Amino acid sequence: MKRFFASILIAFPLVSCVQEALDAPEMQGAQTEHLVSDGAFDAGKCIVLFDEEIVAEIEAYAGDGVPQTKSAGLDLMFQQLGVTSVERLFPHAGEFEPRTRKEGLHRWYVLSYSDEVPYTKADVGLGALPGVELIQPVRKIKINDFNDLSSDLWGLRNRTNPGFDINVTPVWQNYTTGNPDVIVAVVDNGVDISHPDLAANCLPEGSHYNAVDGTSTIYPGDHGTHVAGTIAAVGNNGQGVVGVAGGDSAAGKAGVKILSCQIFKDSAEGSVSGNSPAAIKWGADHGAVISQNSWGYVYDDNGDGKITGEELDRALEATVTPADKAAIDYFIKYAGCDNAGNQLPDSPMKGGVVIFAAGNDNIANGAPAEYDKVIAVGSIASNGKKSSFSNYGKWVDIAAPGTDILSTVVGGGYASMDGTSMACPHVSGVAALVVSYHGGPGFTNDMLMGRLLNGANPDLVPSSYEVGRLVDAMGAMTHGSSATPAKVEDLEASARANTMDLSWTAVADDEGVPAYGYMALYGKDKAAVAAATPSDYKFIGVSCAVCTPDVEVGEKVNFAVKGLDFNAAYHVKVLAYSYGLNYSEPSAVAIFETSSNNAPVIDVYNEGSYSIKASQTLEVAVNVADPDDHDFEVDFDCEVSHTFIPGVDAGSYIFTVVGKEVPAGAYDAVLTVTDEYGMIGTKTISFEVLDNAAPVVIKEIEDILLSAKGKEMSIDMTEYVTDPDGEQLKYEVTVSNNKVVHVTPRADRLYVTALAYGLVEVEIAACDVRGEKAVFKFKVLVKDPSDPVSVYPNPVTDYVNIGTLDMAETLITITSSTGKVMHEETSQVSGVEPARIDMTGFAPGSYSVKVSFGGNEYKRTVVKL
Amino acid sequence: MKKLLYIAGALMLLVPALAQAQSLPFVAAETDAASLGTAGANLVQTGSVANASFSNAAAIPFSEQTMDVAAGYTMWQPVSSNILNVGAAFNLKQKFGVAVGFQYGMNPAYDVTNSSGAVTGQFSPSDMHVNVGLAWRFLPFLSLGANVGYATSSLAEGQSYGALAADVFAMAKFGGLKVTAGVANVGTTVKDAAGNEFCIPGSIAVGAGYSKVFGEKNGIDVLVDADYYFSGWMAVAAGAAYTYNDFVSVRVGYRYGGESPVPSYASVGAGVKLLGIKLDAAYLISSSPIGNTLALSLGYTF
Repeated sequence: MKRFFASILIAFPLVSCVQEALDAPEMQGAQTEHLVSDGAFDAGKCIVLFDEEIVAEIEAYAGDGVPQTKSAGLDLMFQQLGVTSVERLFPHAGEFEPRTRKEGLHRWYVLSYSDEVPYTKADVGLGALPGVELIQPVRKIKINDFNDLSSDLWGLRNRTNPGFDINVTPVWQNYTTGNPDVIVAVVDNGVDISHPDLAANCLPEGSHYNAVDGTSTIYPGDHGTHVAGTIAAVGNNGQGVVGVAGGDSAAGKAGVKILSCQIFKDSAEGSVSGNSPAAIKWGADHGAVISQNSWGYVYDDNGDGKITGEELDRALEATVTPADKAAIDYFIKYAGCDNAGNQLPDSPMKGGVVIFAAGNDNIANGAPAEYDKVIAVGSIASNGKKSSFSNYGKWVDIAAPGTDILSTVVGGGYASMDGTSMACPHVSGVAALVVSYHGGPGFTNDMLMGRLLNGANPDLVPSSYEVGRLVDAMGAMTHGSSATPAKVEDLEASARANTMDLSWTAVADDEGVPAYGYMALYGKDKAAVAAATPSDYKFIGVSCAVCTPDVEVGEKVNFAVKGLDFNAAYHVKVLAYSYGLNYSEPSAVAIFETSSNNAPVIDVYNEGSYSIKASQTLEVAVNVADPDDHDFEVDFDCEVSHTFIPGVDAGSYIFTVVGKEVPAGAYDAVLTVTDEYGMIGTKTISFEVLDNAAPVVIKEIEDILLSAKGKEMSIDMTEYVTDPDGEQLKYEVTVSNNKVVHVTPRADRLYVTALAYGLVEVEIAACDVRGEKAVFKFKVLVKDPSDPVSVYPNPVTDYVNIGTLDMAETLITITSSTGKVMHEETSQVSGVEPARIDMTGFAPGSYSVKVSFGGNEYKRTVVKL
Repeated sequence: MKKLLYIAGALMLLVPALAQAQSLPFVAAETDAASLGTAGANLVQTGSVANASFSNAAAIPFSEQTMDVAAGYTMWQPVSSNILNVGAAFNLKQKFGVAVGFQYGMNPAYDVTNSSGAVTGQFSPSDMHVNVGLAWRFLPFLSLGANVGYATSSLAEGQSYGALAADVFAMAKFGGLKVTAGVANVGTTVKDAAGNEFCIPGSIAVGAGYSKVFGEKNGIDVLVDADYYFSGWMAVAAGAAYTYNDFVSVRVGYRYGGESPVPSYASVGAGVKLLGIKLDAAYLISSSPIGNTLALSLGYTF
C-alpha cells in the first residue's frame, strides 16, 4: 500500500499581488507581497523583517507580553492589530548566535495577532512604518499523498531494468556504507527515531528540533520517517529495508546520522505547519552538513486538488520566499563551520548542501527547489521514464528514483510511496555517502556539489525529460579520481572455432578498489594490437570488446568474444579501467588461432525407433548445442500433430506425440539446427503409432430390477467388455430418465442408484481413446413391490405401457367409461418388458384397464388425451 | 318425416369416415333409474319425462303430467363412477314442452405417471352433461322436439375436452301406439392431443311403444328403441313395464349393444308412486364390464 504523499508543500504562493516600491527610504529594497487569496494562509500571523534599530528596541524590552518600542507608530499598530506575541523567526542559536546576527537572521520576527484581522491590514499598516523592511504572510502547509503497492528496493539496485538505479552497490562494496560523523538534517514531518530499522542511525532523543512547537520533542510522521529510511535505514541487519548510507550492521559499521527537523505536526484539526526557515537553520547550527527537504509550496489555493487557471500561473512564477532563502543561504554558508565561517575541526565538510524535491505537480516550475543554490531533484520510475508527477525544467539538477519506493514508516512498519519526495532522499543519501568517504578537513560543499552533479550518469535519462541526469553514487564517489587499476598480468587466450576465450585475474587500484571493467583489444595484426590504445584502436584496424565482471579481486575473469574469422591467427591484450575511465597499462599481447566452424550437435535421449499405441503418448527429450557456442535456430518438421517445445534447460526440447491424435502409421520427424553461420545439423526421429483395436463385447448386460428407491448396485464392466489394446476404457452413460436411475462410471465399474420408481433404458458406450466403442443397452426397473401393476405414461397421448413385476402371461382389457371393450389381449408381460398398447385411435377420455395374471385381477384407470 | 330421414341418411354416409372411436360416450348412456329399468328404451316413454332433455323432448306434450322432476344417483360400472343427474320437464297444455337436465359423473382418481412409470401425482377425472329441450305438438297426434346440450370431460390438470350435441325427434301417437324417429347426439367433434378428430356417438334413432290399461288398474307398457350409429353400429333396446293402480311398477328390459358405446345388458327395475312422489330403481345384469350397475331416482310429478 502506497499511502503517502509525493511532497510536503509549504504554501507561500505569490498570487495576484502587487509589488510596491514604497517611498519611505527605510523600505528601499524591501519587497512586500500582498496576499489576496484565502484558505491557504495562517490567519492572525505574519513574518516581518525589522531593521536593527527596531530589533534593538524589541530585544531591550524587559517586560512581559508585546514589547514596547520607541516607535509610537509601531506600538500603535501593534495595538490596532491586536498583536499578542512578537517572536524571532530564527530562535536564539546559542554558540552560533554571532553568525546568526551577522547574517541578519535575528531581525526576522513572527507576529501573532487576532484571527479577525485581515492580513492586508497588517501588511498596509506595518509596511508603511519606518523600520519594517519586509512583510510576508505565513502559508498553510499540507501533505499530498500518493498511494500504491510496491515492495522492491529498485532504486538501490534495479533488477528489472538494470542501470536505472543510483548505482550504490559498488560504492558499498568498495568505498563506504556511511559514516556517523555525517549528519543529514531531515526537514520534514517528524522522524520515528525509535523505528527498529532506523533508530541506530538517528541522533539521540533530545537532539532533534520540533519547529512547530519550538521544542526538542519529535512527533513522528510517515513521510519524514520514509524519507529518513531511504537515507539511513540500517543496512545489512537482516530486516526491513536498506538506506543509501545506512552502514553495514553485520560488519559493525554505523551509517550516517539523521537529525529530525520537524516542520509538520498532526493534530485534531489536521496537519499543522511549523517554522521551516528555523528548521533549516537548526540543522546548520547542530552539525548537519546536508539538508534534506522533500517539501514545497502549495499552489492549490482553493483546495480542489487541481492546479488550474490563476493557480497554475502563480505556480509557474513562484520563487523561493525571502525567509526560506535566508535560511537556505545560511545553511550553505555556515553548515560545518564556526561563527567565522571556518570549518570546524570535527566537521566532515565546510559549508552545507541543501537538496530539495522538485515537486509533484508535473509543471515546469517548483519552489523552493528552483532556487539556484539548492540541488533540485526530479523523479524517474523503475523503467527509466520520467515519473508522471515530477516537475521538470532546466532548473532541475538531478534525477533519482521516486516511483514505488519502499521505506520505513511510523510504528516499525514499511510502505511504498511515490513522489519527488522519495527521489530527493536518494540524492541526499548519495551526498552523505560521498561526504562519508571523502569528507574531512578541506572538503567543501562545492566539491560535494561537483561530484553529485558531474558524476551523474549522462546516458540513461534523456535530456528531453528535463529532470536532470540520473544520480550515480559510484560516479559521484569516483568523479575526478585519478586512481588507476593495476595491469593484468596473466592473460590467457584460446579459441573455439571463431569464439575467443580469455581469462585473467581481476585487479584493483592502489586503494583496493576493483577495476570497474576490462577492455580487450584484438586483431590479426600483432603490431597494431600492441600499439592500440582505448582512444585510437578503431583507427588502426583493431577491434574492441568490453566486460564488467562481478568478481572479487584475485578471482578469475572469463570473457568470451564471438564473431571472429574462422581459421585465423589473432592477437589480443587487455586493459583494466576504473569507474572514472582511468585505464591500466595493457597486458602482454597473447596469440591464438581460431578454427573451422562445427555443426550444431543434436542429442536424442534414448535414441531408437519408437512405437506407441493409440492410447499412449510419446515424449522424446532432445538436446541441441553448438560446440562453438554460436547462436542457432531450430526447425522441426513432422507431418502429424505434435509439439516440440523448449525444456527447462537451454537447448533442451521435448518432442511429444499424443497417440490418439495421430492416425496409425509410421512417421519421421526431422529436426534441423542451423547456426548463425549456416552450418546445419540434422536428426530424424522415427516413430510408429500402432493400429487401434475396438473394444470387444464379452457378454450383454441383463435388465436390472431394483425393488426400492435408494437401492444401489454396481456392475463390473470387465466382465462385459475388453479392449484388445489393454486401454483403460471410458464409459459414456445415457439414461432415458435421470430422475429414475443414476448411473455413474468409475474406472471399470458402473454404480447404479435407484432414485424413483419407473422403468428406464440405459445405454453404455465403452470407448477407447480413438472413440471406437462397444455399446450396451439394458433396462433398469425400479418397482415398488407393493404395487404389482404399472401403467405409464398416464395420461397417455399415444402408447401406454402396462407392466407387472415378474414375467407372466397377462390379460389386459381396456374399456371405455361406458363399458365398451376397446382393447383386449393376452401376452407375456413383465416389469422390464411391459405391454405396449397403441392408444392413438382412442378418443380422449377416461378408460378402465383390467390386468389379469397369476389368478389375480387389478383395475387401473388410464386417461387418453 | 321424409325430410328428417333424408337428412339422417346423409349423415350416415358422411360421419362413419370421421372416426371409429367415439368421444364423450357417456352422452349415449341412459343413467336415470326409470329408463334403465327398461334397458334404456325410453324414446316414446311418456309416463316419466323428467329426463326428456337427455332422450326425446317430443314426448313431453303427450305426457299426462304437467310437471315432472327427478334426481338420481347411478353407480356406473366398470370403474364405479358416481353419476348424479337432475332433470325437469314442463308440459304446457299438452301443446308445448320444455325440459332441462344436468348430469355430473365423478370417476375414480388415477396415478399420474411419466414416461418412465414414476408416479408424479394423482388426478380425478370427471364428466358433465347439461341439456335443454323444447317440444311442440303441432297436430293432435304429432309433435316435434329438440334438445341442445354441452358435454365435457375433465381428464387431467388443465386438460378438458367438450362438444356441443343436439337431438331432433318427431313423435306420433295413435291411441295406445306411439312411434318416434329422429337423430340423437349430433354435434361437434373432439380433437385429441395429436390433433385427431373424434365424433360424439351420434345416431339415427327410432322408437315405438304401446300402452294399455286393463281393468282400470293394470297398466302395461311395451317399448322398443333402435339406434343406428353413424359409425355403422347398431343397437336395440326393448323393455316392458307393468304398473298396478298407478302405484307400483316393475320393469324388465334388454339391450343389444353390439359395437355401440354401451354394451349389451339385461335390466330389472321397480318403482312406487304416491301422491305424485316417485321412487325408482334399476339394476343391470351383464357379462360385460357394466354389469352390476345400479341406479336410483326420486321424482315428483303432477
